Parts: sequence; C-alpha cells; structure tokens
Amino acid sequence: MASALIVGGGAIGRGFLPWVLQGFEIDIFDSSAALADGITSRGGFTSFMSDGERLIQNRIKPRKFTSNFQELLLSQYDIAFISVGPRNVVNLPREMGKLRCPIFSLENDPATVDLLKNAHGLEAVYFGVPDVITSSTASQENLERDPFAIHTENGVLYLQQSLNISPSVLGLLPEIKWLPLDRLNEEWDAKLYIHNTPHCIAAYLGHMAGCTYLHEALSKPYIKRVIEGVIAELLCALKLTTPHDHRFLESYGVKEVRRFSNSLLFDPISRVAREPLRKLNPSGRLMGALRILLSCGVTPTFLMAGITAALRYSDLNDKDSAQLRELDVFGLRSFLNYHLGMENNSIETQFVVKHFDDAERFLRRNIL
Amino acid sequence: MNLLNLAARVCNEFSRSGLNEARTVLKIKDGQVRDVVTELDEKLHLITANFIKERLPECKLLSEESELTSAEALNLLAGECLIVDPLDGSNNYALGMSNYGYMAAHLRGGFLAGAVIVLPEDNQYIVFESGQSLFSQPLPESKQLRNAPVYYAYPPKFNISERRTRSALIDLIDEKSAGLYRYGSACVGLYRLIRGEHMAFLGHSVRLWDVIAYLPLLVSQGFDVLYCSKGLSFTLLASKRSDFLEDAAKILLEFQGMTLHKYSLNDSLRFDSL
Repeated sequence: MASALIVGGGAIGRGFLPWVLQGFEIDIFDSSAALADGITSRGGFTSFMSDGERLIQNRIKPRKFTSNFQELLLSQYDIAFISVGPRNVVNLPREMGKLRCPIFSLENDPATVDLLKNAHGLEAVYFGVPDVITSSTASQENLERDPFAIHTENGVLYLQQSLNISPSVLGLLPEIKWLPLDRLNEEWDAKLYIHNTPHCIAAYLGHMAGCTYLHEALSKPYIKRVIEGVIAELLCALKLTTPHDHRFLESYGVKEVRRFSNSLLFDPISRVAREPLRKLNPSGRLMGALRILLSCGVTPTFLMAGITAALRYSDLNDKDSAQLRELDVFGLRSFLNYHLGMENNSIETQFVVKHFDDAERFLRRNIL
Repeated sequence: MNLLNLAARVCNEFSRSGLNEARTVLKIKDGQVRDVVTELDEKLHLITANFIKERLPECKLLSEESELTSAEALNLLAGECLIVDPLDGSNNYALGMSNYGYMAAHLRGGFLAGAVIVLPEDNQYIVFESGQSLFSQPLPESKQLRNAPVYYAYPPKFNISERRTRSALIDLIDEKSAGLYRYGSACVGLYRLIRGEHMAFLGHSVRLWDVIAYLPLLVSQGFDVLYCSKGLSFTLLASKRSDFLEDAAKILLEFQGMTLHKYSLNDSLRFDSL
C-alpha cells in the first residue's frame, strides 16, 4: 500500500489531509508530544466534514502519530506534505533531507518551497494550496466524545503538477486538482487575497466584538458588511491588476462569506487571527493587499478597518501580543518600520498612519 | 516583557529623530573630538530615566551621560541598575554616517537580568529578559566565516603597557583573520559578530556601557565570552573560535597581567575595583 507522511498535525494536517489521502497509509509527525501520545493512546481521532447542513464523520487511524521524527522510515514514503505553519518551517528536523518522495508545502507562502529546498538540500519540493477552512478544534459535543476531534469543510486541494509523481500515486489521489504553476498562482492570488484577507479580518473584528468562533462574528451585521466591503475592494483591484478571469474571481468572492459563516466548523477566532505580525507582512494578505489597492487607485476603506483591527488584536495567548500591546508606545510609524520593515516614506506607511485613527473610531463606533 | 516597553520608547525616538534630525553636537567629552554628545544622546538618556521612574522605581541609572566617578559607579553596580549607552556611535550619527545604536543592560546584584539593544539602521531591536530573546527582525542565517575580520575596539588614551597589548592584539588579528575592522560603534560591531560577519569581537578596556548589554545575547547565540571589569573599564572577548580567544587572552595576561573570566548566563558578573 502507498504511504504518505504529513508533517504537522494541526488543522490542515490532521483535519483535512486524511480525507484526501484515503488510499494511503498515513504517518503524522507533530512536535507536540501531548498530541501525538494522546491520539496514539486512543488509536486515532475523529474528523468531521461539513456537508450542507450536516457533518460526516470519519475515524482516522494513522499508522503512526509521533513527535519523534527519528521513528519514521523516511525513504519509504510516496508523498509528503508540510503543514506546520510558515514560521515553523525553519525549525523542521534536519532529517527532513532524507525524504526521497515529492514534498508539497501547504504553508500559505510559496517562498517556503525554496526555504525547504535550501535548508534540507531537497529538490522535489512543490507548492500546494489547500482551499479549505479547517478548524483546529470541534464542537463541545464532539470534543466530549473525542478530545482530539476536529471539524473541516469539504475543500479542494490544489497541487503543483510534477513529473515526479508516479502514475500509481496519481491514481490514488482522484480528488486533487493538479495545476501547472501559472494556474496555481492564479488560485494562490484568489486564495491569498479573496479568501485569506477577509478571513483574518473577520477574525480580528470578531475578537473586538468578543466572539469565540468565526461564524459568531459573521452573524453580526456590521462585521458582515465590512467583510463584504473588503471582498468588493479586493475583487476590483485584482480585476485591474491581474490577468485572471473575471468570472473566476467573481465566483471565488461570492462563496467566501458563506464559507466563513459555516456554523458547523467551530473555527476558533484565535486560530484564524494568530500571529498578526506575520499576516501584516508587507507582501502578505493585509499590507500586500493594501499595496495592490493603492497601486490601482481603489480606496481601501474596509481593508484599512481590517488592518487597524489586526494592529489592535489583543489576545494575550498570541505569540505577537507583547509587541502589539506596545503599539502606542512604539508609535505607528516606528512599529511598522521595526516589525514589518516598512519604510517611513512608503505609500503604505503614509496611508496607514494617516487613516489609522479614523479607522479605529469607525471600529469602536460599529463593532464594540 | 517589561524591557520591551523601553525598546518601544527608544524605537519611537529613533523614528522621530530620523525625521527631525537631532545631530547637533551639544558637547565634546574629555577633549576627545571623537567623543561627542548629540541632542539625540540626551533625548535617549532622558527617555531611559523616565522609563526607570515609571517602570523600575527601585533601579538606578548608570548612563554614559551620568558623569559618575568610578567609585560611585561601582557602588551602583552592587545593587539594581540599568547600564545605558544612549547612543553608541554618537560621532557617526553627528557626522551623518551609518553605524550607531542604543544599549541598556539591567543588572540586579551583579546578575544580568535583561538587556535592550536597538539598531535603527537594521530595523532591529533585541530584548533579552527572563532568559528569552525577542528580535523585531529574524536574524539572517549566520555565515560564520572562520577567517572573517575581527572588530577591535579600544579607547583613545592608553598607557605604555596597554599600547603594547594593543600592538600584539593587532598582530594576532592580522595573522589569524581577514583583518581589523573598527567603525566607531561596538553596538553595531557586536551585532555583526552575531550575524557572522566578524570572526571575533575584542573590546579592549572599553567602557562598561559599550558592550555589557550584549553578554547574555552572545552566550545564548553560542559564543564563548571572556571578560574583565575594572572600575568602569571593561574588556570583552567574544568568538566561536576558542583558539583565537585563548591567544588573545594570553596576550592580555602577558602584557597587562589581566585575568579574564568566562561568562555564562547563570553567573553574576565580577566587578573589580581599580
């Protein structure tokens, strides 16, 4: 039987990939010994996939779920996936270099492909886009039955086409959409900007409004209005600046608010909002989107509200909370400069500095 | 992280001064034209003093701008104090040149409890507190070239034995590395050591505040650190090449009778009187 390795047993690795890899024996590596030991002792975990108004249940029994990379026979795998979070890619075990199969980085950042290649002397590393919302947890009812249960929607996994994938492995992956790099980039633009940007903004606004799960945030009319506004601004900018098919962009935009509102997902705001400094990176989903809008003359009214909410994100358990708590002491210009490398005289810095107070007043008036 | 608040205040001032220019030289110290005090030195000194007043009320300030005697300073070092160089590389800053930064070390009963380093030209601040380091920008992958140049810092006035030591150290640097670098800021020199652009850093009888903030960071980044403190004078050798450090330490012992101590994170520093 073909075998697959999943590096990172979080939302995508544990919640979504096992549904796609049903023809494989699966090994999952996660640095959390508590997670690995807990799942091993229970003989697996339960993943729930939303299908319309109901949840489909799947008992996942990995061949191995381990926190010890050295337990794995790395030469045996037919395919491997990396889903550890972009910041953690640099900390992967050195033994990664012993993998001989094609490896797909599902890290929301195409740069991680070269990072993995260079750090581990690998060649067969490719990019993938999981177009799916997967929670890192489950409903209270399902958690009581299995503390490692997880909810996901029925998404699509786009992977970069490669001649290194054997026909027998391809045959075991009928649900995967294999795309040439240029088409994958189109999906990536759509996902990064039309999905990831409003998704994280919904989380920041939801946090301000005191919500726990994303669907709770989307049930608030003002938040929904801001998210629809962000999507409209992004669609306009992407149509002006990319060669992507307008119908494809429109159809992508239409489904997003519905996806975020899915009350079966129980997607925690803390998961979607985590590491705001990474999400504010100048080439990423917030500041990168701001640059695109400003470059083509689209006024980023709602996007600016989202950026402001990200800069005011105050979850004490988040890795970036210490820096964000000192935002006012740093001063906005200095904060953007030191944490995001944004030049003082850049058009993005000037726009954010000029409109931050207004955006904050708008949020306080409407969200709080 | 309490010290992150200090870093934030300093970063803010660097950003403001970058816009408003605070390069005016207010005074020259000890008749040394390279030892200047700019408007920015004084602003950063004041910011640090206000931080202490608000956040560390039991702590004393030992700053380059404090104008204390060695005896007064040694007295402070026995208790809780913040040792600060508000603007290391003031002369570079005043001349509109690159290479300057801010350093503060939080000392409690001789134990280095924390540190703040701000390098505005790199958009970098480093806060070390409770055994944890926080960088505003990730460190670039270290090149750690075995024969990279050595940063050698020394003061303008030396006696005969110190001059002989300096001469022997320069010979050692020329023999064992790609050469001597000195660009007017130990703060930047030490940062470049950590980034792997220098093979070693030799701070030869520099002032305490020129280097002390880097000690915990150097050790946590895997460097060997040797030091000797006499009054406000501080000698620091740091490198990952232990053979080079041993040779440099032998020279300091032979020509100046200086015995160096090895620094590790859990140790209290040894401050000797003159």
